[in-house]
Amino acid sequence: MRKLINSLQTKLTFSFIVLIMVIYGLSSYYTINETKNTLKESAKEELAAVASSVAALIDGDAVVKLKPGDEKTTGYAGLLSRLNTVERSNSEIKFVYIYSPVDSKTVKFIVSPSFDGTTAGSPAKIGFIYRYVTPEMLVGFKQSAVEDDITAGKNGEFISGYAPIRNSKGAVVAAVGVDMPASIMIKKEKFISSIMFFVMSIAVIFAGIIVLLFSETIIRDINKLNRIAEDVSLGKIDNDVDVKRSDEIGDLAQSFQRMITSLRIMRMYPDDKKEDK
Amino acid sequence: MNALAETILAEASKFLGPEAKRFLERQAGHLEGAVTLDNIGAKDMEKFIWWINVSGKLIMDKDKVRELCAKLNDIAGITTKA
Repeated sequence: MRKLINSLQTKLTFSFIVLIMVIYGLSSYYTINETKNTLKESAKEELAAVASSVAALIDGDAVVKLKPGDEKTTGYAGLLSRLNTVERSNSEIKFVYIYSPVDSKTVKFIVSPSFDGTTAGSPAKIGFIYRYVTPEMLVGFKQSAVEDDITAGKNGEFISGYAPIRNSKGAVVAAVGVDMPASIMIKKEKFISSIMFFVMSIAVIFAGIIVLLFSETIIRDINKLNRIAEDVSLGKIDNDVDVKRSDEIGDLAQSFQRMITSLRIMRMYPDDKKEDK
Repeated sequence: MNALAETILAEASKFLGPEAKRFLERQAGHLEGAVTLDNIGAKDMEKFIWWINVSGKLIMDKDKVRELCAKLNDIAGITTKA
């Protein structure tokens, strides 16, 4: 076991695998981060587009007419039905609502089919004051805007987009908000991360096998040289070096072979040195 | 040692190592007349290479001997032309 751990093959294979993992880890980290940002930007663009198209569908004049207590009117029912349709037709949209400003820190709901301001599932009363206003919600009265980050609340984590609603004269009278569950985005991120992890695992396994095979050929020839050197050290010079390579190990093998050949010459003509003297 | 002998020794040393001179001197000793490695000439090369081929096989792989003889033939050819 100790010999295996200390062997050049183990060290070579381990070093290459570590190197591959470091390189792949760094590139994966960068790629996943970039993918996350791209997904986020794409979700934001989609939200902004959805909010703008929903806002274009809503009759601003009908919104202005709604007052607290008008929940039974046909005008309210029409708007409620339209927002319900948007929520149902798009699986990535959780809540759609119309709101208008009260002051610089609060807004009031006008139509909100699935969120009454605190819990999901029931519509909000007209004029319900909502205090958890973000700067983007207020920007939504001027132009389409999207929250920069995920907003966490009682009903989960969302990323929200807003767009202004205009009346027949083109004046902004309210805004529409669209909430997309962050889980959709997180799910996509996790999917991409798991794909990256899978590809990395496959790459490391393949690289490991290739390095193992590569180092195996090197180690095999080094072992041959080692055996020859052992034989020579014990006076056995009858075996040739059976290593044919064109790299540094090949050069080493040739040097060994020359040394063995010289020893054979000395053995074959033992008296020549004496004659030289 | 003449220039031809030095060229032969340099080439043979790549195959035979530091004892190349001893080996070549022995093979030159088989040649007729008072030929030694030091005064070997182009006319002696064919027989000299033949002896290297025979004796070389006792100490080296056959392919290596063939390779060495081919190199020496080249040297002999170049020297003869010169």
